[in-house]
Amino acid sequence: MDALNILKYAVGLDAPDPHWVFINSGGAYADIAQTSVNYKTGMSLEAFSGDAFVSLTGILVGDIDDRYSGLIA
Amino acid sequence: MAITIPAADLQALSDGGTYSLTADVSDVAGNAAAQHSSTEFDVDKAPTTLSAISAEISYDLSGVIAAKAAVHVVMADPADAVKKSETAADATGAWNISAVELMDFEFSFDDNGTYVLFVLATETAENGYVAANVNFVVDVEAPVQDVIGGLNIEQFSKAGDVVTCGLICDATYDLGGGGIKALDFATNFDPSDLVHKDVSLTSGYNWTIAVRNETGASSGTVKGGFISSAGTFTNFSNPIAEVQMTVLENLEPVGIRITGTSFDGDAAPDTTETFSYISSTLTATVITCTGTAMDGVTVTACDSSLATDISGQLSFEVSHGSDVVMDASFALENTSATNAINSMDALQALRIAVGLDASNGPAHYK
Repeated sequence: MDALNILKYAVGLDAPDPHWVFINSGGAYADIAQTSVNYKTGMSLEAFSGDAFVSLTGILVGDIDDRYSGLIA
Repeated sequence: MAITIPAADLQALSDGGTYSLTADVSDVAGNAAAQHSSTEFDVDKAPTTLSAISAEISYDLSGVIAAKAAVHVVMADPADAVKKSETAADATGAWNISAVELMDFEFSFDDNGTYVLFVLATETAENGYVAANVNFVVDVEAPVQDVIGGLNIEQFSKAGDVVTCGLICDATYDLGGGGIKALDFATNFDPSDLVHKDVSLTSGYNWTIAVRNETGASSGTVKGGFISSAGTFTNFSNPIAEVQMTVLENLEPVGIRITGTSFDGDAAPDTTETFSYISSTLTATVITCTGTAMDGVTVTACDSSLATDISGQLSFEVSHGSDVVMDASFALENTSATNAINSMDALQALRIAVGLDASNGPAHYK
């Protein structure tokens, strides 16, 4: 799908809008591979019981023309 | 050769004294042996005493008694079942039985009640048993099990001491199907924990009979009932009504029961749920994949949204026991295009799409 979007852009067709997704920084992503990019956005905590610290990692998706990479230091 | 000393003679000996036992022998002709045998012994007639005993299930059971005394502990549970343990005092008289040995199980609320520890001891001089006992009470709070009936109670928000809960209908109990046109229920709570404040109905269903508070706004039971004159409630994902209450005790969990529920006259099961208003801080940090803090990201959790600060952080106050679902969004800001895609990028994309590696090697993630 990424390849298709890039091709669309390369030939002047409309490509999907870029957007940010946020995933659990502490999640397990070892199963992600070139042909399998499945992940859940956001995170959940069950039965919250005390002070906690969590981290989300933002990923810019669909920035085909690299227009927004300047936002990422 | 055995020599028997009458018990009465032994009893006549003084407690605490040291005596010498000497044996002189002679043959039947009266010839005395040149040798004699002698041994010394102490007399201990005083029964041992047990020092004060204290028991707490977090600690071992211990005490002080005569040196080398045998100590037996019998624990009787509330049902009079007994468990025995034993040990021996050391040379100084100290003895100890570990809590693990005494109570090698985890107490549950089924084990509540008074337990008695009987401590029996006998010293090496066989002066008999002495006993002491100590009681302790197990009071394990029974777990409160939430039960979802016809109306699920969902805590929406808490502003100050005022909490708002939503009542969500379970479509399973819409026995007639087609939605709900008439609803009856009663909200039950501990009036020392909560005070009823208000109930509002979900708009858009033309409810014609408002909630009736039959027993007063601050009562522990407030009944509600309403009928829709036009339209039928069919949205089982959203609350059919919202209940507001004032929390009187923020440091204690409070329970709410919904009873007497009926959908269009069909009775639905009761609901019991407990809410905790004890809260802690949930701090979130939002970063890019390179680890840079993201400023201005909107993070949503616990029905509220906050924006990260320059360090990429924000904090929510979350009630204990809550299930937290957190997500974030970030508005794109247009900047001038850089590194615009070209035909080489398209070629690499095609290579990957058909299962080949990109020209500069396999793709990887980080």
